[in-house]
Amino acid sequence: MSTAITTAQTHQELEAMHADLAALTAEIGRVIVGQQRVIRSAITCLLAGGHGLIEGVPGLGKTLLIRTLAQAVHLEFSRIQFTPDLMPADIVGTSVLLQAEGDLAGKPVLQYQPGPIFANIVLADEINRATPKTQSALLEAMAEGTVTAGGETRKLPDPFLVLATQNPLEMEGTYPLPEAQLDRFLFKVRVDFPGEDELMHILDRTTGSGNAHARPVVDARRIGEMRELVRSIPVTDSVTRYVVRVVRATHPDDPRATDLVKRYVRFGASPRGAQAMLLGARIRATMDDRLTPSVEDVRAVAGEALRHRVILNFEGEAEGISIDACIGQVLAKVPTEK
Amino acid sequence: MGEQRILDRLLAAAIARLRIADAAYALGRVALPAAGLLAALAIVGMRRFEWPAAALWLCVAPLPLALGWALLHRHDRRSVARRLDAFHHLNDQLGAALELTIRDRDAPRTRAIVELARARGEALAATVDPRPATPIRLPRPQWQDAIGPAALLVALLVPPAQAGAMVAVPFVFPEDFEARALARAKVDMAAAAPLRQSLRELVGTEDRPAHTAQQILEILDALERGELDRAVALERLEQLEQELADAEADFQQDLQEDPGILSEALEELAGALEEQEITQPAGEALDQGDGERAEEALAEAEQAAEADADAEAQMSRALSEAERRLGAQQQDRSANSESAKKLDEAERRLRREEQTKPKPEDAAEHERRLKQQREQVEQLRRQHERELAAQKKVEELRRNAADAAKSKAGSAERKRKLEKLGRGMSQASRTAGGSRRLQGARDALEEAKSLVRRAGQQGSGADKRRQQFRKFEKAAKGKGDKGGQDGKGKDGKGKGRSTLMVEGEVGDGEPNAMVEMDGQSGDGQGQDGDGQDGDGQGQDGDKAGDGQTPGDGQRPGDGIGTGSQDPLGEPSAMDVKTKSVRVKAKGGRGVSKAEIMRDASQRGFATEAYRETFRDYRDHAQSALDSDAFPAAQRRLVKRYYQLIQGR
Repeated sequence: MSTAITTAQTHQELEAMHADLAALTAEIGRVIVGQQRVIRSAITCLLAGGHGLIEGVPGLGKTLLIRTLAQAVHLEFSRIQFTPDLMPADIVGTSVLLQAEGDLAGKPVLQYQPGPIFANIVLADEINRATPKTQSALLEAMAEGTVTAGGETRKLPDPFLVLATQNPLEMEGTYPLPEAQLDRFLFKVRVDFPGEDELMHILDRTTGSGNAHARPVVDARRIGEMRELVRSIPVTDSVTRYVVRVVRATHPDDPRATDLVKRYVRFGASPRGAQAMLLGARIRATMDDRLTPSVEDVRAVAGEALRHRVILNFEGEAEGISIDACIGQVLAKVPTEK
Repeated sequence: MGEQRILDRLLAAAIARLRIADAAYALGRVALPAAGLLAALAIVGMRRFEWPAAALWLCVAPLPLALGWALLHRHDRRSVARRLDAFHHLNDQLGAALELTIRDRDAPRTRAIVELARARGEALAATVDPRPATPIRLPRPQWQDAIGPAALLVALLVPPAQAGAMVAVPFVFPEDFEARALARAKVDMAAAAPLRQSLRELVGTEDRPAHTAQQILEILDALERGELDRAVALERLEQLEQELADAEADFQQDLQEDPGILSEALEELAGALEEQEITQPAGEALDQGDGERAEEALAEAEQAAEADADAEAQMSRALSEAERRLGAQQQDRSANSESAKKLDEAERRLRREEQTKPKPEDAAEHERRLKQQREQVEQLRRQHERELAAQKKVEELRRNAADAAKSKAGSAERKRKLEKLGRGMSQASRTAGGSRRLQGARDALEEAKSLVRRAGQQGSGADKRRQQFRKFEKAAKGKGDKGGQDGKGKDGKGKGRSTLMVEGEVGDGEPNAMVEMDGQSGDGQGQDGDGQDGDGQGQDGDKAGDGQTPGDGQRPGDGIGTGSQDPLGEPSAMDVKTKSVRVKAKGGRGVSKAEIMRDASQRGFATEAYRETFRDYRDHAQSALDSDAFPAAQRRLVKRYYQLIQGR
């Protein structure tokens, strides 16, 4: 009897989540023209509790997307513009000497001033322009959800989501993210140039007098509930096995590795890649009002989950091999059957 | 559960369609080309390497293999579900519903979602049509498909092995060929209908003939049903024959009176009783071999005679007639006692043999002969004693009949005599009936054997006759040549087989020449036939006839002479032992049409022309005449006989 009640409740919860996600997507879509895939990936990162690396040329609306997302979910948002002279303390905050008040009035005391990292959604704009030292300041925040400054560890707000952007063209004076940091990102999302209709729509919407703003659709509590529900989505063994096979096939020494992987890949995806794929597949299925992910869901998120985790070797870099091509070949070759 | 069955049914339907598609593919792409290749191989093997015709069955082998593969080929339900999902863009929801299971470690919410996923899968299954996702199509033609038919065509063009290359092997009949042919030949069961009727008449009692008849009927039935072949049936019939012979021996051993004499006496008695109306039932019962009923009928007749003077007169007449006929038979029998004569003769020979002193080297043979003669004497004596006992029995019957006829109707004396007469009739009827039934069983057994054998002899009989004919023809030609020199006739010059014996002279003397005549063209017949032969006849006998007029050759000619007045001529001086045999002709109207048809159904209708049959018989006779020394008169008699029955 209790199972029946749970089933009905769960059904209602799933319906509600689907409705909320649809509303969230629609709300963001009111501001962002097109880029549905990017929007869905950002929402996926939000629900999965992961971080997203958004890569695209300037002017494609990356910052606007993240800002709109923050508005729609009614979360605290902060934006950090990464520059070469940006210091870690500029991100995590620092202790400053202040005159104490009260009993110790007049005496100098060190008081911690939180940095912009203390927000629910942090936009790390052009993250690759900062020095590795500064970039690494994000490592703890992204991995642990905490910040240590002045010998004291402070917890970041929940939910905490870092959405970083980087420009793939301007490589001069940039510091590519190290593999360890890249692995912290759940997805690496590529923002494509909009199509003709979308561009016309963008022009129409942004050059007129109207200025669209996203209204809050869900809040932090609801996001927490949805995160919990998403992780309850069951996955069939065949899908899980497919994820494992795909991840293993990105390693050049695996028997299922494709020719491109064997020749041009130095390191394959980590287990975090598998986790990212499975979580992304679950959320994608939920967004599509399905109760369990399929192989197609895995394939749909595989590129974003793996492309920053597969490292090309020198030959691959020299040949200009696309990682997406390698991943596509892997997806095509790995069998879906048992 | 009901919803679960929807998904199961969907998958079952899809798998069934996949199997059909597999079968179509396997047949079209694999089995038929392979069958063509194998057929080509078999044809080449048969034409060039003397393979048996059964090799053609090879070409059938791929078909069941292909169908078996399609039937047994495993289709994973998960894969089928995935296929349906992919075709209908269901994102693996059917497959997930099939695959998802609730695990212990799952959270309650996960379990709930699993149940929801299953329910959704079932709901989707109800809306899914498996046919578009599992199309049944014949494989498209490919160039490889032409290999099989092309090979078959090429094989059909392969010529058989060269005759010169073949080794001529003389055909040898297998040793058991005749036995197998005998077993295969069919028995005409329609012809067995009268025999079966006779057998059914024998069945019904507890004696040996009834048992034998029942056995024969069962054998015939089994033959008809095909449960027995003819060889086995013959074997069983021969076994029955042996058993019947043993039974006959036992019967003979126990026999006190000669059944033949009793049977004749009963026949006379029945005839006498049938003459009068009042005793007619008793006579008829006796005629049918039912002595007990005859006895009862006689008692009833006596009762009727007591009440009616006319009946009494009839009764007296019947008894008197019976007494008369039985007495006449007794006189005839006593005057012509064969067994007594034979016994005397055998005893005389035995005494003579016993008195003979053989040479030492012939002692064993002498002893064997003695033993044989003693056994013969013993048999004859036993037979003679039976005849005497039977005659005594008949005499007793006659005396009882006479006494009853003389006694007054209704008197105790008459009743007693009639009672004795009836009892004697009954006993005699039983004795005669037993013998008759045994004889009937034996006849039926012989008939059954003949019936079973007949089917296997239809072909061989003609061959045997043909061979015999050639032999006789050769022998006859040799004589004919000689005759042409010595006698008046000459050899015909024409073609064809001899069809006629021409007698030059009818009368005494040595055999006349036999002339081979032309049966078709008639060349040369004119010289020999017209007038010359006729002139020569009748030298010894008066009006020997007009002579032979063979005619134009198409027909043998009908000018057979009327013969001499004494066709037998003078008695021969040759020492010939004669033996007079008394033959009792069968009374009545002769053979009826129904009997003719019945016999024909048992023995078969004539299948050969009379001319052919006549020629065979005549040739047999001629062969005997040519090879053995017969008195001239007898020789002429035989020839004359064949002239008379010759076809015209």
